[in-house]
Amino acid sequence: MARCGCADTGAESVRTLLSAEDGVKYNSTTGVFSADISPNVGNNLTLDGFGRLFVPTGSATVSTGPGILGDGSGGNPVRANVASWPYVTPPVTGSQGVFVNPIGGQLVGPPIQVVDFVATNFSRSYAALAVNTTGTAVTADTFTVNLLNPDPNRSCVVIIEREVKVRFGLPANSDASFSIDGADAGRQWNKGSTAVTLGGVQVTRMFKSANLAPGGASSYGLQVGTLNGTGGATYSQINVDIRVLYIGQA
Amino acid sequence: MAEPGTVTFFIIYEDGSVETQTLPDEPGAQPVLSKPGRNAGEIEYNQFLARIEQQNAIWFAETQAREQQLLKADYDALIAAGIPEATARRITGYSGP
Repeated sequence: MARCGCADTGAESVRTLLSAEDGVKYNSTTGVFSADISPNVGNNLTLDGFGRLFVPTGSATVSTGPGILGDGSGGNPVRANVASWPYVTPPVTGSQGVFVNPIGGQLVGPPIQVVDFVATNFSRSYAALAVNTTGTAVTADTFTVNLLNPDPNRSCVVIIEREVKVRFGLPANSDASFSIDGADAGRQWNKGSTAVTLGGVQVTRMFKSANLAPGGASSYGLQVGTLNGTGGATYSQINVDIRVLYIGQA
Repeated sequence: MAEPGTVTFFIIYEDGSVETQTLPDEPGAQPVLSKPGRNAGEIEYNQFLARIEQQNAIWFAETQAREQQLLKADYDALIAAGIPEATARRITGYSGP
């Protein structure tokens, strides 16, 4: 006798009242619900050993575009399509990475190295100044350029080339020399019987200056000196070229 | 003659020297002065340069005049010693009257 007052209904009758929705199978004969797993090719959903829904790692595959290799399966994982490392030093030494540009989200490389060249010419004139008569160079004048690393991201090597010409006034039987940053660079003399004005020697010297930090600034002052003046030698003009080559470091 | 893509500044220094300084013609290009002076215009620079060149010309003329006096003295001595004029001129390098 039913305590609730309802009619006593058999299991078979109840099973006929139930049905399944998408993703679920229902056997109205046995009264069992089960997952409706697609038999189509490419499906990766299955049941684990406990009968639970499960997608095994590596079983799901993906389609990829240029720059990406693999399909995500266990034997063919998705990976970047990169060139092999052709360099002597291993990638961990001095190499730089690939980055995500926060604007647009694209992969980008490091900023391009910056190389620059700046040439400055000075032509300075004087009213017949006496050449230093000692054998040691005495600075006659200084020629200054500002140095600026054009690369805000990298340090740079600084190569400075200096070109100097001094115009001497040479009385009969006189002698004069000039120097670049203290080092003897050129000599002119007049062994004739009357004065001449000479500016025929133009000397070039090059050196590697101190490296500059990223965006760093400095200055270089080229000192032109005179020495070994005899016979009333004078100078009236100094021509200077200072050429600076900036090479960004990797 | 300035190269293409350059700009030339005309500097007058307090010690009396003058300078042309030629730099790459880029925004903000400014000359660097190695000693007290000022960035003057080309006209004023040329005026100062003309004065310097005049002083140098005077130095040159005075030096040559002194040298000619010495040469003349040597020349006269050779003539007085009976050396022919052409030889005396060649030996001394004297070219005056």
